[in-house]
Amino acid sequence: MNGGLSGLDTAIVLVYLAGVLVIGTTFSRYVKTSGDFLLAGRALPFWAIGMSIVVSDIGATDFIAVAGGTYRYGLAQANFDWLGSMPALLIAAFLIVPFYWRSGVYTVPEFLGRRYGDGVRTFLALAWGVILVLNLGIMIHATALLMRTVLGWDPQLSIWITTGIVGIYTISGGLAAVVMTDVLQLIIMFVGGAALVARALYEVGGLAALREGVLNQGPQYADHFSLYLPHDTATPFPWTGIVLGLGIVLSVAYYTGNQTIVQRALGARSEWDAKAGVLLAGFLKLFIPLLVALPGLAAILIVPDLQNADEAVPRLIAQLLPPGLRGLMFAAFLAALMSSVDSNLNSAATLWSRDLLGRLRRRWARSELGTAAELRFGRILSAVLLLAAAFIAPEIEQRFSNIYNAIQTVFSLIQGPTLAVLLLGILWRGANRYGGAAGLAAGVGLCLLLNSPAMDGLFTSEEPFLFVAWWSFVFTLAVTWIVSRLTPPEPPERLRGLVWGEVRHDEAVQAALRRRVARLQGEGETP
Amino acid sequence: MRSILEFVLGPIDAALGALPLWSARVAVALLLILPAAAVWRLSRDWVLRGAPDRAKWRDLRVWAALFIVPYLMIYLLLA
Repeated sequence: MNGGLSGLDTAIVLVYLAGVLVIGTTFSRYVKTSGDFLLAGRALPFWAIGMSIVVSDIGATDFIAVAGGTYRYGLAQANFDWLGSMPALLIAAFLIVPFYWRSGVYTVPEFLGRRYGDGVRTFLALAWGVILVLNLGIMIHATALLMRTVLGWDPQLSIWITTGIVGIYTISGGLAAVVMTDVLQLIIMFVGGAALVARALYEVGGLAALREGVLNQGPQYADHFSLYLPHDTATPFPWTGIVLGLGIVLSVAYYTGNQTIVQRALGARSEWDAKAGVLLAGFLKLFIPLLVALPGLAAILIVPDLQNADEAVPRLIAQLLPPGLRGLMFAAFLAALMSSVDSNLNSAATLWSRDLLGRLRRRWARSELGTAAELRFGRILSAVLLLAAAFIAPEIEQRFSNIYNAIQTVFSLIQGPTLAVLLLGILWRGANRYGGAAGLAAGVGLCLLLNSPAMDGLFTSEEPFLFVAWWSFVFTLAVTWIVSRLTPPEPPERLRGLVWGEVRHDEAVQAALRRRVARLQGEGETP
Repeated sequence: MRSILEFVLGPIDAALGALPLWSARVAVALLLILPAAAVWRLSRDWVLRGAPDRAKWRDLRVWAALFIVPYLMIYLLLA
């Protein structure tokens, strides 16, 4: 996209930004309580939830990095959006989301805290709270880079413009504003992405010609159209790791444990909308590899021999798209970035206010905040977190790889173990607080060990994160089970509404939960 | 510690490496079909809870069956 933007392109981008601001701020009039702010007053329809989950998941970095990965490794990269979505979203929709929604919680750590105690809640909330704020900084930094590359703007100015626009609608309109702007952003992303795919396919002569052309490039491209790579492949995507690490662990952990994803379902107007929204996201994810991976394959023919594969999409845009479409594609990039920034901000504010600072404040002040004060607290916290991320963003320029790697490492440490304790907690009433805490600690410990330099070469794959996720999941299951069997079980009253059999079959629990949810919806208050 | 992990994980890694590539198709098919089929064991009440009406199109088990079809086609027929 080095060619810059024409007047028409700039007009398209400005119209998009104005549209986002208008839609976002429109929802501020409906925000009266912290429940309205953090969970959209539990009024979101399924179609908005589904679209918002997809667009929150896909950032501009995905456009660049997934296309780059496809350029380098082939279609196996698409497994992360295909096999890594639908099975996990089915489990999320039918098994996990109903539990979250019925228990009236705001966050995933809050649910796990009820099941396993405050220690587990605090550990997970801290890990996710730090990840989300650092992620915010990286996304704001990425937006500034994009604006510098395309518009030639000063990065510092770009950081404050992004912070200002996202801050205005996220802090005033809360989750409802975030989700509704996400709907617009998904449409822009799909239209812009489709324009690039159509133009690239036209350039190479269609899908059949693309396949034939890539396969004719040489033996190193022989597997570029295969979704299954052998166990001993030099790429990071052996089929065994894809099935065990991605399909069974990482994708399920992501869609059931990531606050930015789960929060949309928690804001649903009904349990049915929560489940339907998550399922719809699974269907929409089908199209993501077409938008981000196909350009990567086409780039092999259009811009061959790139030293840096991540340049594939920017080079295609610069080479193929005329004025107008280039502005649309830039708007699509901005949409992808801003939707991830606003989602991270809203979820970070929810975590910090519900699971960390809010609990600390209640412990010290020994009193509850009123409705207006709690809303004000959430908004101030959002502003503080956004400002913190904006101040971190320039630092990322200097230390990008360190910070990015730190986030990925923390992320990989908690995914498998969290999923294990979550699944055992819901499906097995024998799991107790001692087992949960010990399992989580042991799983994270094993991840640390497997990621240490001393373990280099232990797995065939050069980047064995898929296998690390799988084994940490299995190890956490085993430790949680063993410790739970050796320690006293939880009293039945502590498990009410938190374990599968009870929620599903116990009519008294069902009635109590229905009353609780009705009260929450009526008052917009916390349980 | 490394030798213990090698002792435990080494044979498993070798066994995974010995699996033929067609077993990948079987594993992926199971991963896609099992959850989509398992939802039919849930009662209609569980699936429709919270729905404004009980229209047939609101049965999310049908959605699951429809949405899984394109994924199966990609993994079993195209790739």
